[in-house]
Amino acid sequence: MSLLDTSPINWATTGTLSPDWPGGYWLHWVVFTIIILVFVLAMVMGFIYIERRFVARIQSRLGPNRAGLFGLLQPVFDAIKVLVKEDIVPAGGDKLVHWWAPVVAFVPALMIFVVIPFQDGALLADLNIGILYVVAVGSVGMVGVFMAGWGSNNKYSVIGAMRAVAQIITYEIPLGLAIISVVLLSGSLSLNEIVNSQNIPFILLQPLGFLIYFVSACAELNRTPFDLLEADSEIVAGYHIEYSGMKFAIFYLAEYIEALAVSAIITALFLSGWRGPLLPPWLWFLIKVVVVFMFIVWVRGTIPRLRVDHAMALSWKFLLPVALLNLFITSIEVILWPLVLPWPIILLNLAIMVVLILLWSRFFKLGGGRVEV
Amino acid sequence: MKFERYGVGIAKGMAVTFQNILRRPVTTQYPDERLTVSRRIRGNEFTWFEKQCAGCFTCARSCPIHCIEIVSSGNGTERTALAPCRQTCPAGVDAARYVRLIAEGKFADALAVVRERLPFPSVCGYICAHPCESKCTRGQIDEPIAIRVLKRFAWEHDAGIWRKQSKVAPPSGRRVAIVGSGPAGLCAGYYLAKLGHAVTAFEALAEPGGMTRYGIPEYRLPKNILRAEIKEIENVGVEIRTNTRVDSLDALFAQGYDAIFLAVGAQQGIGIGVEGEDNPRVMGGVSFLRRVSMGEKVEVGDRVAVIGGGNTAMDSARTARRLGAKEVTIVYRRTRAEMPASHEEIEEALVEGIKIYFLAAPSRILPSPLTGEGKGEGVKLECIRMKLGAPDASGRRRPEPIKGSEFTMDFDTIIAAIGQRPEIPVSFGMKVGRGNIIQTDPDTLATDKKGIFAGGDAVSGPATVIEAVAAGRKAATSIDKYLGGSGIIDEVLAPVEKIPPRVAGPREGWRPEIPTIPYDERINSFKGVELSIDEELAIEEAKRCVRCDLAYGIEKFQIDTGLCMNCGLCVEACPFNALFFSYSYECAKYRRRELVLDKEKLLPSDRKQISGYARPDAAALLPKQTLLVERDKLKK
Repeated sequence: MSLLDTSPINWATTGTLSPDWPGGYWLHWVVFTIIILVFVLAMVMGFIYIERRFVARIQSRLGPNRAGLFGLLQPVFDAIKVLVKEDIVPAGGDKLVHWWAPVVAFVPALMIFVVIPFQDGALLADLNIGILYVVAVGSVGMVGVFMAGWGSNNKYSVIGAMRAVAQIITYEIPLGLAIISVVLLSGSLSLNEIVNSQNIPFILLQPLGFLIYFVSACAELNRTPFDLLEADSEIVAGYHIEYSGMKFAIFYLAEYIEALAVSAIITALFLSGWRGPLLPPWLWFLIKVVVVFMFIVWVRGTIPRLRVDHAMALSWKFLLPVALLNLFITSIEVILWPLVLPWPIILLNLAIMVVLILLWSRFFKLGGGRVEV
Repeated sequence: MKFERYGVGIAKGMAVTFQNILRRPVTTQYPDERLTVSRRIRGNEFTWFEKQCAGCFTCARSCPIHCIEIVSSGNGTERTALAPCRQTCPAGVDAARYVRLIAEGKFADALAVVRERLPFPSVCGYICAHPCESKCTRGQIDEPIAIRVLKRFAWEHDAGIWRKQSKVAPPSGRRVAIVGSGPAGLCAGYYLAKLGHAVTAFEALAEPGGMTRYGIPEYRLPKNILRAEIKEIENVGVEIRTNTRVDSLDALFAQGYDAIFLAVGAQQGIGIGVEGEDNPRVMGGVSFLRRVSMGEKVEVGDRVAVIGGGNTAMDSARTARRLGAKEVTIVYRRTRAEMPASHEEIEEALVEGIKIYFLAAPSRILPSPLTGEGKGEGVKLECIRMKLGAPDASGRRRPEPIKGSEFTMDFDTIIAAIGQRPEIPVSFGMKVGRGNIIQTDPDTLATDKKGIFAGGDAVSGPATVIEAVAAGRKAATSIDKYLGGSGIIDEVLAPVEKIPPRVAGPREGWRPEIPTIPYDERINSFKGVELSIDEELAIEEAKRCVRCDLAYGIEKFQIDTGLCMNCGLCVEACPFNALFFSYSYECAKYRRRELVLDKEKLLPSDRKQISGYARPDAAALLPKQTLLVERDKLKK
């Protein structure tokens, strides 16, 4: 199937691309690499703009509105600014580690997009272990953060990096368990197959799983309310305190690429990916990604930062047991009623979510006693 | 309930932010400052419960960036039921109040407050086990107030103003007999005599005081102080007949007494129950202390072993040290954490060079070798090593012997102080329970025989002086009711005062070291170990009290949300749970506006009218003052 043969309207209805579209292994590779790079960079610029304007509105500010129309050129000028800034390496730092850290943080974030389906079959590599690959690669970025913290020879950096590692270990577990629940429903690890199996979005079948995944993903993204590793009021800027110029910009970009990746994964896992009526699939995909991202920004704009012990407690004492229970209940449902009509199951799962959250909150206790002053 | 509040808080916050997105941005500008500031709208929802707040400033002190501001009007309202020291005290002494009076320099009033509840202020000032200090609010911040030491200080600075208010009712014509003149008996007698009854206390030994006289060594409680205290009790009309042992209660009734209070205490030492216990070099802890208190010469030799871990064991060991023993060893079958003796006593004993063997229990007592060096003198104590097993009924871990781990030590004297039990003569015909204690109704202390009441150690088992006083008070109430009175023994001795304004918050700093006499003087004599403190130190210490018994009218409780980083330390530090915060939207928007408007106040007065909002309608666009609303609701 070639581009000339298929009109966009046909994509919306049939829309399946062959695995080597637009023909040939290497052509496929080159075309999708370019698509991914352009998509990611353009979306990240857009995200930075969206986030700044959106958070500003939440805080009753105007946000950047001077550079270009509505301040649309602000990310461009920011990029120029960081490119011409002096690159500083701390005198006592580990120079090699300090140099490599942004690369190690940036590349895995980009690699996630290898398996993100833009529409049916439109992805660089339809790995049959797609979501496992995402979880595996996504965590590697944290090594870069830890390298940055270690290589900077700064106590705040190390504290930030330690917090980052602790947080990633803590939240990886409920995140993985929530993903397994989805995989149980779809019967495949490939993201393309998962989207294909969503006749109704999994957010309806897995409301609790979505909640757990969303909270854990926010923590993995290190965004407020979980931005403990760069908590300004406590440890100045955390792991990237000693970074300037382009190296800092790469960390900044990596953070937004991860946010984009999480939005795309949530779209694929829970919001039925590119599927939707009327509009072409890639547009549906884009709309859903932007909506999910705006929701993340909304949460960021609302909830203040958690304290370290509270963040840890939330995962270990609340998300993890609830995720385990959710996985257990999902397994039972998949075994007992594989072909039952969706609506009773949807209502049942909603009820289970409410009951589990209320029930577990009875066992959940924040803090741990008095603090010595 | 808390979790739901978090959920509601987050949902509310999301709603507020969503409304903000739809609204036009509001910025304020001050023309002269060329500064544009926006309203701060993010943060935690802090809720402050005025009713629970004691104004103790703990939150303000715990804040690492000092963003909590409390303004107190200084008009206090008394709320003593909440003070943990008063709640914990068995006799209900209003410790918070007398500590406050000491801080104000009114020492005589302070003693009157103590006297309202306690006929033995000096005894308690010297040896009380002070359960109040373990619950002290200040102890949650750093260290508790030295309440017992302050009580002793108040007693030493007695000006006698309590006597003016102390009244003795006209004679009622009823007679009460009290068997035993320990703290429980004398306390009951004191209050019954004040109610007008003719009270006679019978004491088997030569002097009144019971365990405080014959159980507590001179260096902890000087005898002349106890005598002076008992003199006060005799002054209100209690007749004390010493050297009079009561053998039959019926005989007392026959003599015309209307009620009898049995407060015979727990005088009988419990034997250790091992082979060779009847060796003449083995003596009981209580009887040893009693013989020393009576002035008998007790030869203990150079090496003394004390078996047990309670206060009696500590007293015996320290007494033996003072009698000339070179080497005193305490053998206890559990570890230091399980020792029932008070922490201070153990510390003092260690300071005086007393060794403690933990996890060892005596298994046999053998006479010393009959031949060779040291023939016929002393004893051999065979002990067995123990290990801690599962917790028992008292919550302490039960020691279990380790087989084959026996070892022996040589001693000249062994003092067994592993516990006491009441010695109730069979001729009394009382119903006794486990541990030989008298069975009573816990509310009235009445026994199953008409007109006979019992209290103190004889009912509770070995306990503290303050618990004995509490039992005495309770017995006085119920005996008075039995005799037809009202049972009201409460009195007001301290002058009624208006609660003074708080001039300053509690003093920073740690509890002071209480001065003691040096080591050399200790082991050679029975001099009191603890010295009195001077006025300056007492006032300084009393000023550490956070005054959690008073609710001061808090006029303003403000968290500067511009500084606050939502760490929640203040919420966790609050001893009264008067602060609550949720991960939610800041309801302190109102405060922020105030802060912004404060800039206006900074301007010179002639330019005030020109500062203001850039947009004329900006003030109207500000969100509603939710915090204020919530506080108003709480007030209702």
